[in-house]
Amino acid sequence: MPVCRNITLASAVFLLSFSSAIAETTYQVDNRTALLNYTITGPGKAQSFYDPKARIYHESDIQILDLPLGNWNGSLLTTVRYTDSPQYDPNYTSIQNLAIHLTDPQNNIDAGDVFANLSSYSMMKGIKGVGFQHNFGDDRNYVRTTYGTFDGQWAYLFLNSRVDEPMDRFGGGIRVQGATDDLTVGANFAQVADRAGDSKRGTSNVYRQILPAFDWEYRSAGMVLSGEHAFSRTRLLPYASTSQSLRGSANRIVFRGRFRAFSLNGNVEQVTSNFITLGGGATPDRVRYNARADWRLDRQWQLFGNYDQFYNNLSKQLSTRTRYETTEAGIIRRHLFGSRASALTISARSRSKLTDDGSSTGRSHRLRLKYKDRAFNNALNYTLDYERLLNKDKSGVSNTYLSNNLYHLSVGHRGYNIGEWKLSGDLDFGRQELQNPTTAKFDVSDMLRVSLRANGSDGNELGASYDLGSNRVTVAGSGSRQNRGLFYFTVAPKILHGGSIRSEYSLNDYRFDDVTRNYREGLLQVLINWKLKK
Amino acid sequence: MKSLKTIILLLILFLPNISAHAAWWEFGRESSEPYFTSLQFNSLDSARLDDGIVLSPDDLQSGSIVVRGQAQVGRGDIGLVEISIDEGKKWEAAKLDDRGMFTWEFKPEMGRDYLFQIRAISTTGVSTGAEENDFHLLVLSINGTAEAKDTFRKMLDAYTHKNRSGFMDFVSNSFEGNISALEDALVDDFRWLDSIAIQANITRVVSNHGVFELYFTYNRQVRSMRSGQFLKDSAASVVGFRRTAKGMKLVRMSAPLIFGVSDTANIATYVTGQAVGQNVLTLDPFTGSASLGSQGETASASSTSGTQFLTLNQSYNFDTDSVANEGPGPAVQGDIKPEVGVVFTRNGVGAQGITCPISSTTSAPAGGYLAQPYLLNAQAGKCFAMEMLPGPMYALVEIVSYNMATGDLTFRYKYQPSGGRNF
Repeated sequence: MPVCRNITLASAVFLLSFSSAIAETTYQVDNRTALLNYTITGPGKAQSFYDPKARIYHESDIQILDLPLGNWNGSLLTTVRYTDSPQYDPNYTSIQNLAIHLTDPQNNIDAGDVFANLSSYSMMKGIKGVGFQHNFGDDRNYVRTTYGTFDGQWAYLFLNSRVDEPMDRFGGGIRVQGATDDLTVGANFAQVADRAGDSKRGTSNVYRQILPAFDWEYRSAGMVLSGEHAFSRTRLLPYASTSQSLRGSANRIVFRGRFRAFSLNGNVEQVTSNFITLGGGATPDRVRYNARADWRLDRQWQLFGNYDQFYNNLSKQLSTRTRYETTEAGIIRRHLFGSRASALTISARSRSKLTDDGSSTGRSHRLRLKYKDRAFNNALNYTLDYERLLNKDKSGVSNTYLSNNLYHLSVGHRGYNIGEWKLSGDLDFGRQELQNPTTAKFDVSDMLRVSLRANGSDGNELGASYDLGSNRVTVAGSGSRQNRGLFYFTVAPKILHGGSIRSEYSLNDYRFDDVTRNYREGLLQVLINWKLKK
Repeated sequence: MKSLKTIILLLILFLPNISAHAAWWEFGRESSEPYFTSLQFNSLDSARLDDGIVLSPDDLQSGSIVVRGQAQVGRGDIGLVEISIDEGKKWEAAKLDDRGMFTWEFKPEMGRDYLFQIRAISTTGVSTGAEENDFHLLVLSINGTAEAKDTFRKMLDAYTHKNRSGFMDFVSNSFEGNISALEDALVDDFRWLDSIAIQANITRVVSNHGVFELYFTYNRQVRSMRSGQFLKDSAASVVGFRRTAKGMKLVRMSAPLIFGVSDTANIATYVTGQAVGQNVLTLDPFTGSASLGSQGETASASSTSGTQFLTLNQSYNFDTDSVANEGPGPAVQGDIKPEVGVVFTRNGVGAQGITCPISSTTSAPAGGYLAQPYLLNAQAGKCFAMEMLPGPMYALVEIVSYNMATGDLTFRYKYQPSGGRNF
């Protein structure tokens, strides 16, 4: 904690020392201070989610922008936090974000919180480290390199006693991209390794990997074809077993085309079961095909379709392979009743889950109707949504038929102007009727939400909302009701330089069929946003 | 096979059209009518717009919007591309090359709602249809980081209020997980969980080229509709957003999932390293069983774990995480049941002894299970791997204490609900 305090102080000194030297640079501190007080009552108050005490939470975003450093343009952004609430952070003070950027016409240097952005399979991750990019001519031809630690919090770097700290993981890579008018290609190489000797390792597996990847994109009139191909070689050191060498690959090809009124998106992807990416993203053990098409017949009518299929368990590690298939088709009718904003959507979808050994199957058929429009000179917008689902599940020799109905109505008003105030509101109502597999009867959940706002031209705001949630469950003793009321007002005095003070009080009342679980939460919050800018 | 039939059927439907008309997609159009094949606002692709485009200061290039695109026509060439931003009062010609590629630049005012109109005129004098490419363009003064945070807050609000339709409005069509699985998982989440409360604390936002990754920690509480029990978990996770022409949209989520917990394997793109080993909420969409399970190193290997106490003739079912009172004897309905001097297992369960503790065992053996109706040599300090049919499903059991005289049994366990052997 003292380390963090010193760093916060150092940031402030750094800020002040530059503020007196360079006039054209922007110095800004955005502060958010929250004073919180929670009151919990009722026989089930131990179930409450909140910490029933008065707490303080403060964050400051410190920004120095457009700082000239020779030929470089520099900026520094850091967010520091103080809180006495262990729900937010076990430490009182912390650095949430720290990033330094230096740019000149051809180069970018980043340090601190850096987005290590190579390609989606190889690395796309926020790390703490350094990054460098050199552009050749424009920013479509470049070489980019980055390296750092995957630590999620700065405290893990300074405070080794944090109990929630995982084992250290380091990684980075390089990306070279070249582009012409039509074609873009990128070559990527990522390397990630865990520190096996870390005291925080516990019983975790240790991974060391290299991952080369190649991505490309071809653009022609009305179409984009792109792809990525990656190979991972991973050394896995389990805690209580011998090491393994895992090799896997991932391939994806994406097509996006628009031919006048016809639009087609297609996606094919295969990721083998041993493909591991520690810095990027992929769902292993899948083959997936997806195609979406829509055809705008004219300004009123549009047809659309979607087909998605994937199956898992390529290496048959699980007991059986499962195939998922979704087919959807629908029609959109716009400009109904002479209204430019209206749109009626009718769609039907069939989804199935089939195991190769036939041990279980699941089918779901959905019919959906959705209508949205505006009324009263576009002041009022509304959406009506209805879904009917019919599910059939088969496990072994027994079949289960379940049906669901889902309704949703949403109404929003752009607002009336009354003097210097603008009044607006929203209404949401939803209902779910879900057939219970135990009783075969319908469990009914209702949701109602009403909110009203009055916005002043000077940034002041007054508002209130009410939520009602109700679950009537056919299994005795499982029903519940929630009522939530919220009242708030926000003022924006000029002394805060664009900041504001928001005070709100909300009362949440939870009631259950088992009354010993009932409880009530009163939440008082004062949120102060205040800025310092030069 | 059914999918193959569907594809063949579609081909049969469309092929005659292809042979009959060279431009079969041109429903109701003349080949001399120009059309736009691409339209970009700085880096945002706006190929198909219905409601308009919203830009943030991050999307501007030195305060400007550069409109780039290409117009084409079947007969002749594109002679002129014009743009209006004042409801058609004044039209300005875009720079145009001989391939129909055009550029046009303007500096927008923050917060002003422009009616953006664009038309292409061929050298034969034919123009794109009236109002064909009209839409509203708005530049909000909010920056991308703030917009991503605001979108995340709205999604949390929609999720905690069980507003699935409102939630899905924020999900990108190019969502990297399975978007159908996400929508279905929301139905199951809302079906089996109530009193959902989530306190998310965004720790940092990193961005690059229109992609925003939000790193956050959360405290979550839900109530299982099935058991009536409250479940709480706290962990770190990540969600990714991409700026689109229709605002910020969710493109990826990492495990542990904050939304759609009933189908993590098909929704999460990767696992947040900081959360591995932490107890997180799991929900079986078929049984409605909600429990806390250890976050695995892959999204599909989120196993459950815990400590269970059973008294004489009580049985425990791993799949439903439930305890049942049964009569004496080996005809066990649950998976494991202690009696005086013996710990019975269900018919169809095979077991074998393994090295203790189970906390350091990451996978169950592939073979070697003995199909006996009881655990062999069950006593404190012994560990077992269990293979359970149908499935098979796998569990690891470590006996903490077992009183052979009374039948009281306490054991730790790991269970893999996805059917794999890895924990």
